[in-house]
Amino acid sequence: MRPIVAVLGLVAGLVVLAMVVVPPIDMIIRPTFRRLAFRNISRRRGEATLIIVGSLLGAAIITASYIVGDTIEGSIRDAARTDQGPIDESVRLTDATKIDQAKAAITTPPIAGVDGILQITSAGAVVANTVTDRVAVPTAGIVELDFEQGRAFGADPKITGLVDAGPTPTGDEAVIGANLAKRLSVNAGDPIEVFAYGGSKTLKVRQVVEDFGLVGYVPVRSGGGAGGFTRPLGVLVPKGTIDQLFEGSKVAAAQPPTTEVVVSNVGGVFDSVGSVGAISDELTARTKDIGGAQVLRLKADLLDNAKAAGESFSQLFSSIGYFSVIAGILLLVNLFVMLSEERKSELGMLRALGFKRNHLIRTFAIEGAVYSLVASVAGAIVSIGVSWLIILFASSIFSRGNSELGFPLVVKPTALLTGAVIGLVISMSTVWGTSLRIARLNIIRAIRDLPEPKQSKQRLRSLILGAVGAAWFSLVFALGWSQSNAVTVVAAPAIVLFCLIPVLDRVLPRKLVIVGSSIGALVWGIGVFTFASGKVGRAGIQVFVVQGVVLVAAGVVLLAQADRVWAALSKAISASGGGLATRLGLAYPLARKFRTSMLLAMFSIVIFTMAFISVLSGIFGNQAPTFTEEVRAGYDLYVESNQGNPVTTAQLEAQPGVEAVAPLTRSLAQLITEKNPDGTGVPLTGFDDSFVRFGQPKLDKKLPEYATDADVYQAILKDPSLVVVNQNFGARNQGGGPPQGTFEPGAEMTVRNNATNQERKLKVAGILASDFVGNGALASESMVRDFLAPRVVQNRHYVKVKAGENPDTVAARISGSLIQNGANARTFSAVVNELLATQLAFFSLLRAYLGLGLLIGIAGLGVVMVRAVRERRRQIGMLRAMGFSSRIVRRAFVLEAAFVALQGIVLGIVLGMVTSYNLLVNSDAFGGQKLDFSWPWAVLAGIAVVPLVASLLATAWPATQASRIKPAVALRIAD
Amino acid sequence: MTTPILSAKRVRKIYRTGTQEVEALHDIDLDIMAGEMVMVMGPSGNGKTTMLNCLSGLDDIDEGEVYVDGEEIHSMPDARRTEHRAQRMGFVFQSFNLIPVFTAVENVELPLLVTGVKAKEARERARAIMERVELGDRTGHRPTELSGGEQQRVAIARALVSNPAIVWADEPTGNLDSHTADAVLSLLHEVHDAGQTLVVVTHDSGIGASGTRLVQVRDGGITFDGPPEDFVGDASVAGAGAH
Repeated sequence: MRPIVAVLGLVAGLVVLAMVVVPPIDMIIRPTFRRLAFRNISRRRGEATLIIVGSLLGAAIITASYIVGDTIEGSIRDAARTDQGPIDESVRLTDATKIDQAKAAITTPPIAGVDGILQITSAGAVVANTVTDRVAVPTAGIVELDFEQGRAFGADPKITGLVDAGPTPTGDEAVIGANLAKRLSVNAGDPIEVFAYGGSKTLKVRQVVEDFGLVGYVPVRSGGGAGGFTRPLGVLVPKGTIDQLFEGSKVAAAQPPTTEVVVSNVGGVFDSVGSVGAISDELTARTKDIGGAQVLRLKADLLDNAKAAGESFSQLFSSIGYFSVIAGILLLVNLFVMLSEERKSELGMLRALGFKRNHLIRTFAIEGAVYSLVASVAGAIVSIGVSWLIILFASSIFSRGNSELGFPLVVKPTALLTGAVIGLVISMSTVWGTSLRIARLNIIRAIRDLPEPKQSKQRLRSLILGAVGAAWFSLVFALGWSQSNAVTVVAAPAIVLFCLIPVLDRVLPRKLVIVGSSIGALVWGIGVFTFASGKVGRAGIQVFVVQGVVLVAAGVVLLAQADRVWAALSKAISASGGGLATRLGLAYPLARKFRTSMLLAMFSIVIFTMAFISVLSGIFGNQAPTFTEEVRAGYDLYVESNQGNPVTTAQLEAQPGVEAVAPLTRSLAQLITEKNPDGTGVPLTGFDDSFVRFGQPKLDKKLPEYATDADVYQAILKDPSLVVVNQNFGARNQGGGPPQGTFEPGAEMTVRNNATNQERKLKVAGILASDFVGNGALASESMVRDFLAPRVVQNRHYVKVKAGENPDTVAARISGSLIQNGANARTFSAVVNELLATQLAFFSLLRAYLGLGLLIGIAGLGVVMVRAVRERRRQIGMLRAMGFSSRIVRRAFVLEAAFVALQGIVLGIVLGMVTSYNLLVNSDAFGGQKLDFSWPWAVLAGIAVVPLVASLLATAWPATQASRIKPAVALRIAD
Repeated sequence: MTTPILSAKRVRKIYRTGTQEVEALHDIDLDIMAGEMVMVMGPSGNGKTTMLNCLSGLDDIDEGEVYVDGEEIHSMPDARRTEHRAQRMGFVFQSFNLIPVFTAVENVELPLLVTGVKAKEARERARAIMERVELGDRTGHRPTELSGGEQQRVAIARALVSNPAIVWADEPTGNLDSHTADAVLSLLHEVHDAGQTLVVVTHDSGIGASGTRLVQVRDGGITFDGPPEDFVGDASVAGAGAH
């Protein structure tokens, strides 16, 4: 299979190359072609502009997806500068007393490629301004490092952030970053209070410095199960401060301080990771005998994550954008077909004069190349604005209140060039494809402007192509099925059905064959997630693009066969009187099936996706109560506190209104898989009896030996090798589409504690239905503590409020009274709603992005109607001569546009609704959750009405122009 | 004395292109009586079609008046003039101008539908007139499925279906071969014999001579108006004239 694919790829590449290269060569060596092409462009400048506008959006959408990806990557990459500076690796120690041993191991003898080491101690803390303005930052850290050594750490002091930070703080001094100063409303000289390990210390801000390099390095987890791009803020404190607080610790559940030796590789911020592999291996080798030492590739991991996130966003937006690109291609095809029909007699004459078919193709290709080139360049420029809008909206979703998080637009020349080239290739392919069709004209019929005759039976060539195509794609389907290739499984059967049309119509009525094939393709496209859930259940966004194309193609072909139904309806309307405009308005689209189908497809492909996303969005938006019940385990509040100063169970139980408290013990472990033997960081959360006292988090699936969910949790409490995991556990790239679940009940997994190098095998007893708080894997508290100690922390609690108490009030009280612990108490419904709001906002962003495709559809319809007015000028003149009022002519044009737009909209919405319903209700693509299904009617109505109204507005001008045509002028011929 | 069905008085038409003005018609005085078959002839570019357009109300005029059934059509608002045209006039053009997306019978019934005739009656009348032009078996065909002669006969049927006061035909045989042109001309004569008033613009002197009246248009003015037999020479070229 692979050699065939490689050969096909090579052939396709050469064809594309030829398509792009031939026109410029022809421009030079074929002056006649060039003159014809350029004069046709300059003859109708307005139309040339419309074609360019129609095509540039495609290039803009593609390029924007790259810019968005680069911006997301750039923003995350920037954390290498702001949060790490010269730090490349870290040797983190469980036992702080071994720090000198670690330093010696690292430096003796020096490791090639390392230009500095630095000792850093840190701990989670709550930082508050309790004097001038009572405000606290619950997720913060306190950091101890030597400023002199820090400035000398690595080769470039400027990237350390400490150049202007003065000496190491002493006494009660603290140095803080500008972001923390802003959050706390403090300046140099103001006091701040840090809370950690149950104690507190008041410090005086000696200096506020810029947040980058070592100042931004706060190696504590940001906490919060809700994720997001939050980053902790740090306070640089005098040496000994952390020890002092930890030694007096009253909180056993707190995470101990982190002591580490950070390592700087030769190079600056971004160019130092080349040697990370060798250096980290060397570090591991040298520290393997130091118990609890763990080597982290901090910067390389950060940059890898940035790249992955950027690529994920690029892929999501480009995949969604391809719906719009397809709409743009259909518009371009339509415009070129209309252009050729207008020039038909001229083209026929050129053929009569001796132009070969390939000459016509190449002349058109030159003209198309000019449009495509200008559109691609303009599209790339427009994409900057499009990206800016997306990022503006996206950053408000991701920041979620963290105003210091910025997403400055990253516009790389490579993104502009790549997007423009892809746009150019797509446009050029469309132009060449259309030109091939155009050049097949019959000279006499073209000169006399006669239509091509209908072929009663397909030619032998079609029969052979159809038969070969059906056989080939059947084979492709079989291979795709065996390899669970979702795209092939979705698309191939539909292609086979369409290929069979020229074969079957030899023995059956053609209309019957087409209708049968279309219905077959529709049924397969809609039901594929039910029929073949095992093959496509983990589908990515590209599968939905293919599914959309299959469904829309089948729907459009089916609608094109319904011409008699529409004609009868039109006749019935005109029979009732007053329907002349309707009859006229419907006659043209029904007679010109190809054009109408292109327009229909242009609308419905985008509307389908919008409806599909809207239904998903609406359904998920309505699931908040269900999700809340699934995660809360009978408790009311979710309390997260600072890992360095967590609230204790006793503190929470002492709060008024609290009936019961369940603590959760957490830490990160490395999930070892075949694909990733180095491990992926996953949260392990330990629970005890109290957690399952009032219920338990709902399970979606469980091992058959357990009758109820409760049985599973009881078994976990007894058996430390059992866990339940969420549906995305261990999955890294969640770019879009249904979750890519990685575990099933009964699966075994290996987890490792990197600090101790201990490994454990765990068995998945069940899959959580929802995990909005990010517990990851739920295991017994004793197992987590035993396996991951001492770096476990108990900073997450579930709280049940007393009967009659308002959970919101109790939550507010807990957050307020335990502010020094960074307690953030929220009801489970608030947690779920917040995350759902983020997801829904993202859905809205995707819908808005798709709106660009709709814009193509609407503008395209307007352009096509403008051309239709020109094309039918004489006919309109005749109608006016016969006594048709200008009002009837205008109404006919508006009705024509409304007819096409409405069909496209209804087709798109119906397909979107049916597909989403089937996906959500009849398949387990979303983890088999039984979702409460209801239609978002208001949104769907908006998707129907807004484009329809916009289409009518876009048609208003050409319709008015048509109504103003003077019959004598339109009919004038030479006397 | 019989009242003319159409009366044109001192009609003047100017074409403007940018700053240039071309006087296409001047001092056109013409009365057309019911039942006449008026042949309008003249050299190319001298104003025949412009005269047809102006007298039928398809085009505006710059000076003068045109009365049809006693009503001055150029003082009517466009909507009223359109309505008047639908009820009282039929048109046949050289290039047929059938609506390609409608069948022959659908094309023919259009003038009836636009004047508010019920669809069923319109279809019946359209079929009847198609029988009359000997296209009863071609009613369901689209224009592209018909020959040039058949298309023109459909156009004639369409012009006649609403019983107009005047049928205007602009070079009705111009796109046809001589055999088909003869057949179309015979049809027009049949129609005229049945009492229909016809104004036919032609450059074919043979056709011009077959009418009841000949009007020669030259340089935008009428240079001859009388029985064809009084005309000497070829009315389609400059220099010919009356006895």
